[in-house]
Amino acid sequence: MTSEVLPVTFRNKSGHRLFGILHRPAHPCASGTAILLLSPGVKMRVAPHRLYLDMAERFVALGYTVLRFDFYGLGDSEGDVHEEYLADLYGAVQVGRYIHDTIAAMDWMQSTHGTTKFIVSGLCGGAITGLLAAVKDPRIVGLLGLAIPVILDGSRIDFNKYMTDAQLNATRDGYLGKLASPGAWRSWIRFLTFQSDYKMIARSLVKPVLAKLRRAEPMTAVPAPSEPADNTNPYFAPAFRHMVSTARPVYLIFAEMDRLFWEFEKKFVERNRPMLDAHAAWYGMHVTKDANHIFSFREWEEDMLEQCSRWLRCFEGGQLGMADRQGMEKAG
Amino acid sequence: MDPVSAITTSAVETPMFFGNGAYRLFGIEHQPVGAPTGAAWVFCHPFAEEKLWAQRVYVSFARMLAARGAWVLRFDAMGNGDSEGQFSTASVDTMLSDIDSAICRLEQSSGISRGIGLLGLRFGATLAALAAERSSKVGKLVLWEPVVDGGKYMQEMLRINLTTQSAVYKEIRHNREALVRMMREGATVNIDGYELAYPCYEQASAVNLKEGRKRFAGPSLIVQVGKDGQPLHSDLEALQETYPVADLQGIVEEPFWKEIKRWYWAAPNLFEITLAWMAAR
Repeated sequence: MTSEVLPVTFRNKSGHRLFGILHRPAHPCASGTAILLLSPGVKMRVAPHRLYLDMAERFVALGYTVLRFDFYGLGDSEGDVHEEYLADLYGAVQVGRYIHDTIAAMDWMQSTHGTTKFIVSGLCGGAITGLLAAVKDPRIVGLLGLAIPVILDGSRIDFNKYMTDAQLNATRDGYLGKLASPGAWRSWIRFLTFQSDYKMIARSLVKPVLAKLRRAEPMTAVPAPSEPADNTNPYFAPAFRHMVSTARPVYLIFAEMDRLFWEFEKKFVERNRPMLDAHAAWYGMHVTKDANHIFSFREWEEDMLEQCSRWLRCFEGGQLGMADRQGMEKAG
Repeated sequence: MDPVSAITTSAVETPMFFGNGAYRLFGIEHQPVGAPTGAAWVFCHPFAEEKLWAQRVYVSFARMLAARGAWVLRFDAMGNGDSEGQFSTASVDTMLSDIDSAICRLEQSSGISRGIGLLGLRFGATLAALAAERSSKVGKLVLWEPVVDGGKYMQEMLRINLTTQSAVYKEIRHNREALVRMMREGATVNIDGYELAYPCYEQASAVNLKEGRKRFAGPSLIVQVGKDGQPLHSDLEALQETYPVADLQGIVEEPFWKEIKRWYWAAPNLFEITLAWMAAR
């Protein structure tokens, strides 16, 4: 089966020309659903190590049309993005900077190719953009998100302060591992020449001890009124709830060694169990063992692609949300 | 003039595929805005993930040149970006062949057949320098922070694999020697997700731009990107000596071809010095 790969351009709401690549299957799937691969961070429409090309190839083989494109100010597209720091740019993405570009892509696909149903997919910033866009646009019928962030990035945010226990443990293990490695002298030079992150070292080593001491204390510390409770993205949980409560399936894939997975568990799953249980039929998750944030090793990428394909086959076969549908039929 | 503030989107930027033998390469052609000056540049991208980090700087500079009346072709080598093929089948040979094809493509579009300029960053600069040695169509050369010693650079690539092993498995399961042996036996080594195969590793490792006098006799600009007060690197001075006509300049910018804290959509000092050099020729 051969597919067609075409360079395309279209304009967003502000008139900026956005550049993309359209993959058209030789044998389109019956539902006519297209997949939008939304750009992660600043790594444009190809994504780290050309991940989106592999994803597009796999999805096209299942009969899906795939559009991957650059948001304004990034990749080849027109427009400007002038944050001084990457963290601030990521933070802007996490609160929905590119929702309108995503909608513009759907408008273009609808007017040019007659497509009216879309699955939004992407890594990290691409995944959160898709989730937030789904709140605004009912043409989005599903989310296939990789390493979706639940926190807000920003150059002024002190990440040390908001690290989960798992992150602190991993950081501590990393420091201790370095001391035991043959290249320990490099770490010592960094340490002795004031290049190390002393705050982080202290926190990762001392916090477990403090936690033990605190267990004996009857009172818990109260944060100062101006201090945020944590760095969780306030838009995440409502958007997630909106999606699953409107019977639009969500499938999330995480990398086991990625801090974003630990943050998702701690800052979203633990806090939203009742909601997740209520909509369990519309939500699924997979964790790729050992993998890093970008699924760089081939076996990690293959595991992720296999899970995506399995979910997409279920989507096309109308098998997602079956438990919920059967429950509604019984109730009816 | 602030070179960054002068960036404008060129009137016509055309994304397209063009052929090189059995595969198609992706490129974006920037047509000159206003009266063409007769200048035409092919941009040669850096290696693996460095390409993605530097992408927007390339786009911004291409738009600046187009705004000054030049033709520019930015393209992805086989197995890179949106071009066809697998990274594991790319090598120095295929990358040089791709540059030749890009030059031909720009020649067809622009009607400019001689004096085409090549601009590259890091290993893209290395490839530009090698391409200039074999093509009579190349008239100018701009080398941004070129990789002079390919062997050393390939060792840096292997180090990325070792770092990933260490982070994931808390140990080094395959050391450098084992990685090279595996490649020699036909396997690939993963570099931040890119599968590096032996032909590429071997050919890149053999590159040493300091060796021998260069055949290319056109004007060349070599730019060292570094910190304030940093002396010129002896490798770059040695490289300059191999060219009949070459300028070597040091400028202050951060290493925007890798992950840093700043968002680099333009490199003002690098752009300014390069534009001034181009204008003088």
